[in-house]
Amino acid sequence: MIELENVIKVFPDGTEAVKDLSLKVPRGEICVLIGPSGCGKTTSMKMINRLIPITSGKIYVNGQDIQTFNPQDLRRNIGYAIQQVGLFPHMTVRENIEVVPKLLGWSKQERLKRARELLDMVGMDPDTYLDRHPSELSGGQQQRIGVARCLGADPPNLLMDEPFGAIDPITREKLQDEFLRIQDEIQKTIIFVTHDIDEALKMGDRIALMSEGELIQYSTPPELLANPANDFVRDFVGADRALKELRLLRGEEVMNPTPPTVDANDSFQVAREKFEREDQQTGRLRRYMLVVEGDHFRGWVDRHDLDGQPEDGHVRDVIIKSAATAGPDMSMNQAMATVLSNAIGNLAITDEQNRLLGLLTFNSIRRVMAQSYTGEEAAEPTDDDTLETEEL
Amino acid sequence: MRRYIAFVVLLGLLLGVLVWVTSFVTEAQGLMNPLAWEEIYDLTIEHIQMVVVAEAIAIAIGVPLGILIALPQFRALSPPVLGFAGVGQSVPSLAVIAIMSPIFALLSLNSTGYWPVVVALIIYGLMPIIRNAFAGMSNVDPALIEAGRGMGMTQGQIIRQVQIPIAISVIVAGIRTSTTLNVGAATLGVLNGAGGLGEPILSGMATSTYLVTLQGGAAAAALAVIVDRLIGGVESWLTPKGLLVAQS
Repeated sequence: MIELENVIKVFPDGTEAVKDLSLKVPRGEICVLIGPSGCGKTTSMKMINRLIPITSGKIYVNGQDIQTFNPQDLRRNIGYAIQQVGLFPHMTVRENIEVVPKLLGWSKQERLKRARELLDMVGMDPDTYLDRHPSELSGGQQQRIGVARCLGADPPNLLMDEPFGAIDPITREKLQDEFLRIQDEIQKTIIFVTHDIDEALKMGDRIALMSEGELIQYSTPPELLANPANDFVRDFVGADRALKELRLLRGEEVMNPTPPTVDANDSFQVAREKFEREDQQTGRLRRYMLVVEGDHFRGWVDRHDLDGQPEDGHVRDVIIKSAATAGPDMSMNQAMATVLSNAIGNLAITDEQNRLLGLLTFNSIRRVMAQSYTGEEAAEPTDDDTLETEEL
Repeated sequence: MRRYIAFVVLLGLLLGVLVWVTSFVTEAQGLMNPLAWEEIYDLTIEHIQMVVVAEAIAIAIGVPLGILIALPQFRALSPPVLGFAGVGQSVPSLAVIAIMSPIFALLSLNSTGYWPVVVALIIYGLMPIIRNAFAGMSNVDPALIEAGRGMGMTQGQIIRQVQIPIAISVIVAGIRTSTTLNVGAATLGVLNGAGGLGEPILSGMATSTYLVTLQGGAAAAALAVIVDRLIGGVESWLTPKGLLVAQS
């Protein structure tokens, strides 16, 4: 747990970098500090491990006032990762990871065990990489070692200053995903500084948006998007904040878990009856329906294809096989992209065994979004089961 | 590999000259006779001794001083210190030696011979050492120092475990320049009666025995080449492996 209480920082030249900042980060959460450059986010972070002395106020780490520790002891118990990674080029990967454990006086065996464990955790083979030097690693690998190093002595709290800053967007995305997966296991309390709003929305359990040394809004990512405190927040988050919110939504939160389906083994007659029943219930003419076989997703059927078929045929004969499916964890921005590029315009959500979990439509996404913005049910059409429709 | 070839060729040439000239020694021991091997050997030892003592002291002063003025809390001292050492080097080496003699006399010390020359060599050799130690330490990426601090290293640990290992090749390169320069400058020590390989150079010139001048010159030059290569070896031996990989 990290807590800042009325913290003020005035630099010797009179600059008020941080003005009366109070912030509480509960155990196991990632708090992202974000804001335009010069807003005081990095200064605030560096005051927590006393790299920058506070002018007034109190900072507590795990309930203890940081001023009661000597700075070195304090820092050895708070993980620290920086944008430039700062791996020591003359040390091997192993020596780099072992820096803090060594400062804390761990035995050689303990240190090696921990180094191997951490390399495994960040997805790098210990036998291959322990004795390499940083200059022999790619940028992404260096960032991974940077993360491993800040976890070296297993500190409960971490400070991360744009830890995925200096790499290409694809690798960054990957490292962010990996780090969130690691965080699920290790549950550290993290102060994470970034200037990238997309990264903030993705990584943060809470986001502290700062401007000119002041905390403007401190809230969860969906809250920040849906209820910006003022115009500054609205501008900072961007005009496309609705699109950003899509990233935060997972398939299983938006999908209809009980969509109408036909079975691949249904006869054409049964299938037609199912279409008609749906039409009556919804008051709309349904064009496509999901095809399953038992639990498993098989594809789609177009009702026009049922017309004029011999009576002894089955749905399987006219099935439209679709490769486009999404897992329950897929974020809505990715799902939308898939929906947009898919002829049917809807997306089946399936698990790894290809079992059908639900159905995702434009309307279902729209309904969830509208609700989070206005707090009200979206206007017409509210029926998220309606596939591509033709008016009756 | 190419610099090793240059080294071998140059050294071979100088030693060849030395061997060839020295082979003219005759039993007659006339005035025109070149020096015998034993004499060259003694003068070389004298020369080495002068340079080694001066360098040892210059390193002992220059390396810590260069490191010190690179630290943030002493950074303000760097312009005057580098300036002072710079003056020491921009004055011709002969002048530094010439100035030392009267200073020793003023301090009522023995103004001729060995020590005034050694002190002159120390002053002359300080500049490259201080400058390189300073440059090596201050060129360490600030992100590394920040990382070290943030992980809880003390300033001493940062200096020893981060800065010096990274700066070591630059520091040793300064020592190499300084020593090679001083092997040359020490030949002027003879003007203050300090002996060394300057002696045959000077006496050969004074008596038009050019074979003797050639012997002194070739021996001093060979010594400089050897010293340069030796310290170059130490330099690459001390450079951490991770940094060698980065350079290649």
